[in-house]
Amino acid sequence: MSRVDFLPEEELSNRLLELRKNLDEIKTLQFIGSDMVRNYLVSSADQWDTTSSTSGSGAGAVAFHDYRLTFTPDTDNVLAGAAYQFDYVFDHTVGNADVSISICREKITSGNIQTWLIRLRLSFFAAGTTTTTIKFYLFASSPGTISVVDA
Amino acid sequence: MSRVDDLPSNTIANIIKDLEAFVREVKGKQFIGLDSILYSQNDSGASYDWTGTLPQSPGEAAGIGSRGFMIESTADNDRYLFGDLVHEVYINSISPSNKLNFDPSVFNSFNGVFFWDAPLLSDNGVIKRWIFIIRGNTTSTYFAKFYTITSSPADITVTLI
Repeated sequence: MSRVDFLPEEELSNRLLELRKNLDEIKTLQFIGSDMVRNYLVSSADQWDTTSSTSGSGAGAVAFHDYRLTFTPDTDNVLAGAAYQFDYVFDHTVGNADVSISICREKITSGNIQTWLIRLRLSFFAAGTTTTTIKFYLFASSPGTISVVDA
Repeated sequence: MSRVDDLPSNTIANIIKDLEAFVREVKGKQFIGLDSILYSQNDSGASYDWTGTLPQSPGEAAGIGSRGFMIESTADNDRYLFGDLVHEVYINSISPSNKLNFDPSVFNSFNGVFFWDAPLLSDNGVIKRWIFIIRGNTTSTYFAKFYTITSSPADITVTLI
């Protein structure tokens, strides 16, 4: 007497058919999405990534400060480790300039390393110096490291 | 009499049980990320997508020009396309020092570019669109090249507006 003897023939047949169906489905195209895609929030360990002080001569003066942010995913595959979204928080001394920040993605020229050009535009309404600090975040399909340098 | 009849019955039961467990694991929730997700960088294949001088900007001082573009990226096979626009616009000649920067206040300045996401077409998520503006003078020659970085391979078309 074995365990198979306890299985009704119909149940055995159904289990084998279910297995075959599942294997067929696995071998065909399956869409991936929803909660199966794991994303990562990538940022540096620093409290702020950049700090810059810019002086304006007076009302109407405009100054720019450019940075380049580089994201290096923790994967060697070319075109893997996509960064989907870019975000930042910033702070600046209040008093003599309005600060706006624009971000442009750049062409990928080396493997999966992705870069963005970040431009600070300071529009002065009084003479003085404005110090701006920024913290950057990326949402990506891979963890990785980010670095920021003057551009 | 078949070969199945020759197999010890317990062995058959164990094989079926193992197969069921294996298929459950394969079909079950598996996280996807890292090397499993690839993205695409797309371009038209041309050296640049548009070159020329800017037409006089209506209502502005003589010599100030602007040109608008609609840039569309259409997924080859996707339900919804995620993506960013990458631009390279140059004045006079293609060299890094002649590259124009993105400037959200370009209408208060000069020789810059500005773009924003255009609405979807009838909820058709496989097409992502941007409106792109070059602002400068009416005498210089400008060169524009566009790329999209998207969640799946996509075509790119550039239309003057």
